[in-house]
Amino acid sequence: MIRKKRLLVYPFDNDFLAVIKHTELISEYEITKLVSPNGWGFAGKDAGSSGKWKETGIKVEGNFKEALGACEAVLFVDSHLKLDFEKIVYPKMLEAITGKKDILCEIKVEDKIKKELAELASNNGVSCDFLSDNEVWSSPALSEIYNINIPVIFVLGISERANKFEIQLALRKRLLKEGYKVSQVGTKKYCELLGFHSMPSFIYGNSLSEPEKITLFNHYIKKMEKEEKPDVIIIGLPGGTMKFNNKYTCNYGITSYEISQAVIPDAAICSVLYEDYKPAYFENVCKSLQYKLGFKVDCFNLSNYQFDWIRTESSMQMCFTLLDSKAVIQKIENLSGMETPIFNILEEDHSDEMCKFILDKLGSYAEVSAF
Amino acid sequence: MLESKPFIYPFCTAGGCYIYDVNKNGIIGVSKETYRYLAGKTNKLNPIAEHEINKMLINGFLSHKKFKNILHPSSNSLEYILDSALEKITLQVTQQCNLRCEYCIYSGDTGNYQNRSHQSKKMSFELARKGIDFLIAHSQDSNRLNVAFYGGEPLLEFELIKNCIKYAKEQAEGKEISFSITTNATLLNEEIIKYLYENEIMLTISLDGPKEIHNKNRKFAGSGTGSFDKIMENMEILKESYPDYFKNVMFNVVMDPTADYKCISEFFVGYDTVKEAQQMATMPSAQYSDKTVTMDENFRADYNYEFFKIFLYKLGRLEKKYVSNLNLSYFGRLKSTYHEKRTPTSGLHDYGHPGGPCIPGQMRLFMDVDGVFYPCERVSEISDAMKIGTLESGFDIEKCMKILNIGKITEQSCINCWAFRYCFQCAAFADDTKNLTAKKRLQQCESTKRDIEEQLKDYCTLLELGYDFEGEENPFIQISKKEWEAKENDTEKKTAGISL
Repeated sequence: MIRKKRLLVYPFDNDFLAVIKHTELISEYEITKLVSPNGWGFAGKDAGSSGKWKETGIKVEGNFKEALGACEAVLFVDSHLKLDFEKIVYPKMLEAITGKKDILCEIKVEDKIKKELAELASNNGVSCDFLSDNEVWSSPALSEIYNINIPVIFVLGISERANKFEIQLALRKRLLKEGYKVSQVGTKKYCELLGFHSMPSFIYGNSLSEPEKITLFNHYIKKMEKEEKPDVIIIGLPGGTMKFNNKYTCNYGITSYEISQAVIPDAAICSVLYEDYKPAYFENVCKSLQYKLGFKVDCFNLSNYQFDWIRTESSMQMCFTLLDSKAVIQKIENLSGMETPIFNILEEDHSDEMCKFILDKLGSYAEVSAF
Repeated sequence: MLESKPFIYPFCTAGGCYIYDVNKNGIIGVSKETYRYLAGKTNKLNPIAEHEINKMLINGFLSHKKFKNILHPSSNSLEYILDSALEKITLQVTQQCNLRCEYCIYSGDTGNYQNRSHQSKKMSFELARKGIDFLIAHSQDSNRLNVAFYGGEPLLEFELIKNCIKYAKEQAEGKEISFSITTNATLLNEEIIKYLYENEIMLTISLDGPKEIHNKNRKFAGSGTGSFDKIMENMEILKESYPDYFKNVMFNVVMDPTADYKCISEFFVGYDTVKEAQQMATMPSAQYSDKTVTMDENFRADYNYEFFKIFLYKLGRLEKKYVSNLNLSYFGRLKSTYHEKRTPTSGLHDYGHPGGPCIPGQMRLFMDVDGVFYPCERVSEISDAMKIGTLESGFDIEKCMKILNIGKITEQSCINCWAFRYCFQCAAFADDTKNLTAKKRLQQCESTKRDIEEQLKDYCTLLELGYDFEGEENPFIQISKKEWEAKENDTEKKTAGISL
């Protein structure tokens, strides 16, 4: 058995919690240290508290230098929280490399710095890997798109911060456990560490036209179908699916739109932000997505992030309030009896039910499929 | 024609008649006939009014729906917000001040106010440090933090302030952190000014106007002499040493309603030392005061005339140089409240809360010299209802909930109030320093509603006169060919692809 390398994650934030919860999906590394800048307020607390989750047993640390000694590699995460790269992150990268640690970098850095870091790593006999940064994509050779003949599951969110990645990982774990061969495209650049693909970079770039992106993504999935021969494909749709209002547009859900034009899902899980919804809200979301993206949502996840309109208005940037799982459960109980079920991915029994529901859904297609 | 009384507020300006529809949060221009009918001034419904009302009904206006109960939308998440979304802490570094000001709304001990009185108590560094730690530990979901220093006169504790800033900068690694001080500016000297500049500290200075007006209320303790000359002397040093920093200094002008408004206004427009800095004017606070603030007739006339000049300026009929900055913020508020933030809604929910209260402790947590928490620095320190926790025990959620849901104590009045969306009465308006009372809150409803009505009228009048609220924000849609080429050269190279 290959010994896993001990990994330090910096800067740890609540987005990374999903990985901590499903750490067994990582084959090469063992996450041993989580370090956050002190000002983020996570240091000294259990990692789970950063997302109002259950305790994980790993305490977040504030001292990078001290934690570094206990690790062999460092993953520099591209956090949703703002952090000065030059003043805070870059010196830590240098410190890690000169401390003879391999580095994995999710943060997009300038070519000049990339070169400097690679040289320094080479001189110190360690590796320096810039995640999902070595891809070059051309326009699709054909303009037509293919049918995907393997069941496809979409995991999408109404907006950012909707626990999408947790759903993707929980689903993966469950399907693997049930013995399925899973191909997957996820919404983080470090998906490869977890054994699946990160969203190809052309989706975010501007070297291809929007129709070309749709076609190329379809070809990308078709290639995956042919080469990997999976039983099921899970696709995490990056970003949100619709604008909040004229000020906060969530990129108009353009990436979700393009992916849903490229591939038609057989099942779709939509995660929504926490709010005091009435059943009509979910009916309207179903309708809106069906008309806009062309597929039916099979079930919802109610995330524990609530959009904070008051703080957003005063700070001129999107603000969210994190609630604990108990509040989410209570809200779901108030919404019981809906046609489209709602789950809370943070609760194990809900997570199981959601995966079972999706598998049953795909199974029901198999019963009626015509050849 | 209408089955039940619509939840609306009809009003008229010099140029037109309007209906403010509470459910839709919309303002609809109507004919005089429709206005008269909907305002209950006539029972006769002529064909013009009937047609207009029908059109409104078809478009979902004129609903009679009201809240069933008063509940602030943030009530359910209050505990979570206070656990992880604090943005600011204001530290009362001392209760002592070197001035004794008649209109000091924060620390008046001249007998008018019941907030607190000047004492020799000051904050220890240990306590301040814990306050900063509390802010950091409870701000996971906030991107920006601010530590403010308050008094008394905070610069009496300059060494403590320096220690706090050093500590906060070290501890807040990874977060954008800023600092602010509200001061009477009499203790500024070259060393302090240099420090404030180097640490980019936002400086708010209390200055009431020209020498004779300022000195009337803002006097040195002991000698009783006015503080104007000393402030100007210090401003000259600041301006000369750091002219760019000076431009960001904010003068907080507490206007004496018995003084000559023109004198105050002209001073801030024309006096060399201060005219380039930011200015913000307020009337002396009526809350917690034993005295009624009564505006002198001349003051009122001049004060209101200044708003008229602002509108003329905005309509392009008067040059900016004739307009006082003191009242200019009124226009900004009007634009923000009624044009930018007023979004149409489909109707009222079953519950809601009037405007006014902020989330107590989240935006402007104030900690006194003993480590007791208050929603902000403006509330009474002797009021038990305003003590929302301590550094040791954390927030008292029950008290915070009461302050947040202050409308609950006047539930029926708030449910029936057409102006609730624009209400600005926070819990301080209901605080009699012993309890939060319905009586005190309701006492100020009439003037609040009058203010809101005036604002609606001003907004509509500006529209009638052709003011284009979006006019200053023409979208930029062109790019030069040169810029375009540079952008094109910068895109990714297309060299490989997928073969199936």
